[in-house]
Amino acid sequence: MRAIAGVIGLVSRVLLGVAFCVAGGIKIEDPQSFAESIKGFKIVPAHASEVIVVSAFVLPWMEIIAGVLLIIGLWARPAALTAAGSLVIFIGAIWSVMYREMSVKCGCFGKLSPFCEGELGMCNIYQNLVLLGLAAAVLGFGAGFWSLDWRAGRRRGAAGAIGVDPSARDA
Amino acid sequence: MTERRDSIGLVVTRGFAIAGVALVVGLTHAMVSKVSVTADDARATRAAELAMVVDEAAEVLESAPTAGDVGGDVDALAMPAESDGLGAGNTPESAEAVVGVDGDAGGSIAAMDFSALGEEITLEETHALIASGEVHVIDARTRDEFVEGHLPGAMWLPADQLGSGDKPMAFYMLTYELPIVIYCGGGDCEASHNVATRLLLEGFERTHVFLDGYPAWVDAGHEVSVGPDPLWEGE
Repeated sequence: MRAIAGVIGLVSRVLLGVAFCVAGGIKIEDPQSFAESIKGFKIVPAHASEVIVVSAFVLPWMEIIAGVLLIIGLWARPAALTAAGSLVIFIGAIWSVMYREMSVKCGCFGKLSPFCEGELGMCNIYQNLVLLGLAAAVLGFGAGFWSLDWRAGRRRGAAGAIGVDPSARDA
Repeated sequence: MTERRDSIGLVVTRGFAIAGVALVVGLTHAMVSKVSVTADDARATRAAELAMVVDEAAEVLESAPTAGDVGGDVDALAMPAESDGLGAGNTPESAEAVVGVDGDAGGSIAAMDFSALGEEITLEETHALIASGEVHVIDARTRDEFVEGHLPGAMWLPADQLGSGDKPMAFYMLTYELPIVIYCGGGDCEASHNVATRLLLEGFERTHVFLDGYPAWVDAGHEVSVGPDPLWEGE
């Protein structure tokens, strides 16, 4: 049972981490494109251009930081929570674009559209729901095998087991 | 021994900490970058860059040993560059040149002053510009849409091809002398505005967006071309 949880945690966090690093990396390499994508969504009013520009940098950095933490398995649950938060925002944004029947391209992976071709649609929402599922798996099962969280837990667990300092377990 | 389970509170706190770090990094990055989403900002950036070039050039000339002799040259250098700043292409000479070519296109077209065109232009203005032949036309839609049909003489050059990396061949076909008309699918499509912003950042001041786009052109019964853009062959 523990082995299954470890594998699920490992696979989910690495897949999610790689997807986030790629998505964030592409955006941060060409922030102008992403800023224009955000403008195209017409969620932030066009006159608030500072908000658009700042989001164009903060969102990709959030993806990259959460992605790296997920891949190395450090603070995997908090990173998965951050990832889930941004995915919920993205899903909301896509839904709002579809609700307003606008025709825009997804800036999700920059100019790459590995899973969803063409304009924003249900496909992009499904894509993000899959990623959200991975984030939920990490939240539920933890970082899994080969993670820094796992190693830290084992070290503390061992220390607690031989009664050296039981309080260290929850430190 | 499995990993220990952190309390929900700790997970949430650390989640916010990650978001906070991203906010700080993103804000810092945003402050050192030159990203802009407004055409006015793009023009201002361009004008500021030009002013800096002019200042630097003037300093170099002033510090030269023969400063006395080149005093006049500094003015000569600064003058045209300054007038390039915001009104490039809107000088009387270039306006005359364009109108002159329109002479044979006839009637209303010849009377049109292309140098006074706004950022967003109408079907009639687009038609007149294309009829004059003195214009770059850019199709900002998808490649498939371009192949299906596009305005005569249009190049395929969507915004995502104008990123910070290598520019495509089509970009290098543009000249500062001619006006540029960009269109996409009309309606809500932002693609042509995105291309316009990019080109303004690259110093193309005479960029115009044909707002109603391809559907309006077809509805008006104007001629269209079909097939891929030869500039993109082999890609």
